[in-house]
Amino acid sequence: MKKLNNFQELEQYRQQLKKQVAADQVVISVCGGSGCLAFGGEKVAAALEKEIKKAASVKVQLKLTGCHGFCEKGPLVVIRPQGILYTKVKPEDAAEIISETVVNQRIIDRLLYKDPVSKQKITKEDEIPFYKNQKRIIFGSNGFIDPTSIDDYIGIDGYAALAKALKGMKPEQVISEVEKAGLRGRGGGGFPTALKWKTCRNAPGEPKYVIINADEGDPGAYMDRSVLEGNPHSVLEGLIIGAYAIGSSHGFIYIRHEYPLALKNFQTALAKAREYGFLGKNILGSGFDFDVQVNQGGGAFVCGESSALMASIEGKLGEPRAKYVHTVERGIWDKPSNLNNVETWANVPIIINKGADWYARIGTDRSKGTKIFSLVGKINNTGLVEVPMGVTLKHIVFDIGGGIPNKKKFKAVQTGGPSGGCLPESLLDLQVDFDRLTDAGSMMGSGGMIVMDEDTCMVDVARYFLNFLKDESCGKCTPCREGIRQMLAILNRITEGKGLEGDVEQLQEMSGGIMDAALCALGGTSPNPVMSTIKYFRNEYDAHIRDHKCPAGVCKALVTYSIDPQKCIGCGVCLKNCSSGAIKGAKKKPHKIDPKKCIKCGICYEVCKFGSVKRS
Amino acid sequence: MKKAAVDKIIDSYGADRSQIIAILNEVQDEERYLPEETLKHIAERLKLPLAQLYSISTFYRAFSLVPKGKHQCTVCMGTACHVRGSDRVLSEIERVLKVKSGETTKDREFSLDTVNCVGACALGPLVIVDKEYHGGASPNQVPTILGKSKPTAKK
Amino acid sequence: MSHQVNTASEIKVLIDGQETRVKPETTILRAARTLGISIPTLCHHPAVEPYGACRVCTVELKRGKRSRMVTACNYPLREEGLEILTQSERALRARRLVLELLMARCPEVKVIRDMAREAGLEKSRYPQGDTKERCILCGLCVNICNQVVGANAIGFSSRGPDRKVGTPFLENSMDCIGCGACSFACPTQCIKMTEENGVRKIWGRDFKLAVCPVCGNYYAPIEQLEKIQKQVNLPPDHFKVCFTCRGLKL
Repeated sequence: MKKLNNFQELEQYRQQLKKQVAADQVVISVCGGSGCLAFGGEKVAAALEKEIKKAASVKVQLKLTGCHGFCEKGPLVVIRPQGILYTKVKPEDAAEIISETVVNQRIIDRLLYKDPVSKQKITKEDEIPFYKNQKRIIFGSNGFIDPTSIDDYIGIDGYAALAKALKGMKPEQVISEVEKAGLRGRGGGGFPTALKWKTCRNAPGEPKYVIINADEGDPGAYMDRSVLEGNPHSVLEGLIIGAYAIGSSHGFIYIRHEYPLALKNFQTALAKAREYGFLGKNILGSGFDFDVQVNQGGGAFVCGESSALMASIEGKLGEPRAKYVHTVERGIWDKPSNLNNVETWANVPIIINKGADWYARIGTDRSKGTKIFSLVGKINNTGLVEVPMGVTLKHIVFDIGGGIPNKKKFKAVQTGGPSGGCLPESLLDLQVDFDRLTDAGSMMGSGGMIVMDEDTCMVDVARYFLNFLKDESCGKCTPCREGIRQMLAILNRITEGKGLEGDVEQLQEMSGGIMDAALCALGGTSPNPVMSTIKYFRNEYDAHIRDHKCPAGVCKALVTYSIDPQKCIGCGVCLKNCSSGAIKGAKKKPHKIDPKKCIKCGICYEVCKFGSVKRS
Repeated sequence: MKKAAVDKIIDSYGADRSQIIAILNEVQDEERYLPEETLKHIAERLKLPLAQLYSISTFYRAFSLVPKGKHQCTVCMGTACHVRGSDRVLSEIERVLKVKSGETTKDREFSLDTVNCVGACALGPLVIVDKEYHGGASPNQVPTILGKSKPTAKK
Repeated sequence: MSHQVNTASEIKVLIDGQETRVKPETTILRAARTLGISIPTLCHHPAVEPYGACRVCTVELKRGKRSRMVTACNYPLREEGLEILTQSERALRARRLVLELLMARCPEVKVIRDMAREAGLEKSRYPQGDTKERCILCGLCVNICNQVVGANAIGFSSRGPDRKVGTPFLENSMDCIGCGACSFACPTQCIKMTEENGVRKIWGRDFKLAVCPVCGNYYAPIEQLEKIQKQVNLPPDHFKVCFTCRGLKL
């Protein structure tokens, strides 16, 4: 491919690409997201390819795309132009998909999605409640393009926003468009993006740097991974536009080593963008020069914090520094440096293409656009969902997520990762945006949404997050390094039934001090999971401390398992599943659990079909 | 690791100090740990104080200064995995392998580690053995996941 | 981010009700000291960049009605209209938290106990750590070694509660010149250094001391003198006599 030298050449090339794809061309998209790949998506794609080769009479294009979002039902296969969705596809289904659906235009009933509420089979992807209730302006393209093909991206109007900005907009106009759109950072705090850009642009010092924060570390959040894996060019295009607006010719991406596919796909995107002339000298003949360097993470949550990330890029230890002088003024090598996360950058081309007015109509007063959430935990439809800011928690959890599995009761939803909090049932009508989540004692964070049911212990959840933070604290400042460790010790004793009266008050007091005295935002927000669980689930703390009971039956020290001899029919399922050999009993005779051998894993409780295993 | 092989990795990153993590990631991938001699050589090549390189090598989870086992077993401890019971999967693996997380079995067959979320939350609880993902893991599947036969265990 | 940077020669600031004028970029700590207001510090040292790790100098900063907590050692005063409270209830709460945590970590360190007593704390409610532990991980030794001495002989290892200070691989460091600056600077005197029969022991290594031909006293490790001589490109015999005798002769 030869370089595209100007805007006209790009447009001509785009038209040429679009012409190549006939309207009735059959395209089979196999989801290649991490979820579907783990379920065997690649094998499905290979089997389909084989079958397509065999059926020489049909013209089918096969695409291994990025994540479609509906991870629960993977591997997913979508057949266009009809938009038929097949779920949980196996390699053995490939021949039938080609012969039946592609050649004979017949639907294969058993591969269709069955709505758990109406019990109806649904044929088309966009008619399924999980997709129907979303607004997928960022994430929607994932299912249509091969992430390794820049032509696919150009074919869906990729790099048109870059051309528009370079051709007809001054850098200040780009910033004011982003400002009018009301874009706020998707990485955590929700800081106004345009204000950051403006400060960086106006800060004295050259060169200036722009950075993609792809060190997504919030546990339970994987939207950045999926955007980078599935549509890397959209993030890159956003970065190039931002660089132009800020006046930077040098960009970075800081990417977790835990995301090898995202790294690979982004590197491919960089190489292709250089080849086509979207990176390098004199981009599209505009006179603007820009290129991007890749930096890898090494497994440290704290490196998602801007000053730690920048220290790490410099080759130093990834620990934060005080940001009394912000990184937009003094960042990498003390130069003005503008950092935004993956999803934020991916919003930029949409804003430039569709205009700020269009964009600002989506969302709430002070939170514009959409947000991608990873809906995980105790939820029927696990996956990535993109919704306009301002929809209710209930809408996300029940209408899109399909509610809680196994007829269990909803207890809480955790948002914002380790800096966020747990929101109870009474807040299900909360409209989800930056400010309302913060007001409720949680935060948006990067968009993790972990659903918890009645079997989740909220004291254990608080303990879990502090344990996470103890592992991930860099150890630089006293409150975070020592304070989290001491708070964890208190929570450990509570979950072991050794909690003392006054423990909750002491946790609250320590939380206040740590929030005030910690060096960075990660340390400063570390008490949030404890504070929010105390606020909304104080009764569970009291049950552990006063009654030595774990109401959810999670805390091992407070739970015992036994078998009700009246109900046990001696089927032996529990015995077979018990990994510690704690269950004894003859066939068709009531079984017994030896409490000395029982490791309280709870597997017997789960596998018993007769409700004869008791947890107390 | 041979010096020439290390040099090749260093040169592929232009002997750039700011690529230190990427360089260490590659050495770790190849050797399954960071040998002291290799670190000293890298420090020399990059003109990086050894104390600084030692700090970096011990700071990040991806690196180990002690040799790892033949197989790497990693249990995801992300929130989604946690609420679905990753704790008890981990305890079961610890019981079966007779090591704690962060350790390597005596026969050097398995190294067991935890990771704070790999972003494959739909698969929780997730166990990764030698880069292969095992989703929806439960304690009684542990022997199968580890590829060990155990008569009382059924999938 | 939107605050206005004052480029005028001096700005006005109010600390505990007292007014003073300082050059922009002056830290709160420095400004307070000109007023005779003392703010406790542990990791601060005028010879190195402020690190802001120990947090014991946390103070309350008011801008109009808004109030936030900052560390005095590294907060640069850049604008008019700031009020700083070093003894407010919130500032004391933060300081007490830090000191109580440090007391639990290092139960026997006098400077911590004294500082805690001054903040109104007699003992720590948290489980006590090893009584032999004296390092509060303030990083001053590391920063002195890197920034002042330029030896880069010691650094941090591991992270979080496992963080430690030491030589690489906990082996004898060939980068150490035995200057002892780390030991002199340590606020809790936890870096052991001994001298006996012309040999200084520090970080597990023995350093031969140079003997002054004039007074006959041992005066500095030979390795240290060699490093300085090379670093500053001094004549080879520059350090032949000890500092005292050289001072007398010159």
